Amino acid sequence: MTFLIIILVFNQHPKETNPVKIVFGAGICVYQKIISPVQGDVCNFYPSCSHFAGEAIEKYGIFWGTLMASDRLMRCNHSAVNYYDTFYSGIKNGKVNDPPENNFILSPIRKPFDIIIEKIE
Amino acid sequence: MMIYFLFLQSELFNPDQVLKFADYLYLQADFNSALNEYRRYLFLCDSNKQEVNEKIIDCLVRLKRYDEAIKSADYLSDTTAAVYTKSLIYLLKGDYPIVRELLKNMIDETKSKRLIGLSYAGEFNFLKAKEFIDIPHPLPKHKSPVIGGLFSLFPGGGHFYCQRVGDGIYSMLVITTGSLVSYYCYHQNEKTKFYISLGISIIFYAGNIYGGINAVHNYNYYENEKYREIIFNRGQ
Repeated sequence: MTFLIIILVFNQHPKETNPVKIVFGAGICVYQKIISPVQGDVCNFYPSCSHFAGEAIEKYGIFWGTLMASDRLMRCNHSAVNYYDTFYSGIKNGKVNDPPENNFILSPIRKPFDIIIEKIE
Repeated sequence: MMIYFLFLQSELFNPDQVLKFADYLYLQADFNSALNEYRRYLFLCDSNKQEVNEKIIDCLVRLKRYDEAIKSADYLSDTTAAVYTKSLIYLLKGDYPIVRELLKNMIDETKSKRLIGLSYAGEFNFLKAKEFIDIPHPLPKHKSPVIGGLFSLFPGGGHFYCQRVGDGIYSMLVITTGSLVSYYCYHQNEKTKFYISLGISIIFYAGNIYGGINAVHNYNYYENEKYREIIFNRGQ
C-alpha cells in the first residue's frame, strides 16, 4: 500500500516542484485511485469534486484552490440539482456543470457563453 | 456508362431543384444539410445571390459556426447589410466590443443603436445600454458580497442570504460537526486528533466564507443574466 502511494505521489506530478502542491495533489490522487472507486460515482457535479479540487489548485494555487475545493465539497449535496439552470451552468454528462472558472471570485467570466445563447434561443 | 447515368439524372444538378431541396431541409431544421445544398446551388448557378448567402449565414449561425458566418458575410453584395450582419454575429458570439467598433460610423441609425445597446446589455452595462435602447424597469437588484461574507461568519449564513437553503444547511452541519469533533478530542486529551479535526474545521469554515461571497457573485450574475435575457428577447 505504501509503495502504491509513493508511486502515485511521484508519478502524478513529475514536473511539480512546490512541495505543498505535491502533497495536495498526492492526496487527491490517492483518493481518486483508491477511495473513489470503492465509493462509486456519487458526486452531483461535473467535474467531480476531486477533479474540481485538482483543477482549482492547478489553476489558482494552493490558497484559492483549497478554499474553492472546500466550498465545493459543502455545495455537493442533493439541493445542487435544483439550481442547475440558475446558479450553475446547466447539465453536462448527466451532472450539474460547475467548472472551477465559474467559482473564482476574482474572475469576471462566470459562465460559458454557449449556455447563454441556448437560453436566449 | 457513368456519364450516361449522370445525364439521365440531370435533375440532380438542376439549380432550381437544388434550391427547393435546400429550402425544404431548412424548413425541416436540418441546417447542416441545408447549408451544403445552398453552397451547391451557388456553385451550380455560378452566381452570388444575396438571399442564398443570407440563408447560408443563417444556417451557420444556427449551427454556432460563427467564424465561418463572419467570413460568409463578406460575400453579401450590400455593404451596409454586411456590416449589420457581421455585428449581429459578433453579438451572438459574445464579442461585444467588436460590435461597437464595427458600428461606430453608423451610430445615428436606429438599427445600429439597437445593436450597440444590446452589446452593452451583453456586458451587463445596463446603464450605458439605456442610452441606446429602451430597457425594462426596474434594473436587477444585486446583493452585496461584503454582507454575504459577513453573514457567512455564521456557518451557512451567506448561502441563506442568497436563498440557497440546502447549501446553507449543509455548510452549517459540516462545520458544526467538525467543531464538535475537535471539542470532543480536546476534552479526551487526544492532541493529534484534535489538531487534525481543528485544521479541517478551519479549512471548511474559510471555505464557507469564500462560498458565501461566491454565492453572492453567482446570485448577482444570475440576476443580470435574467435581465439580459429579457432585453435580448425584446431585441429580437
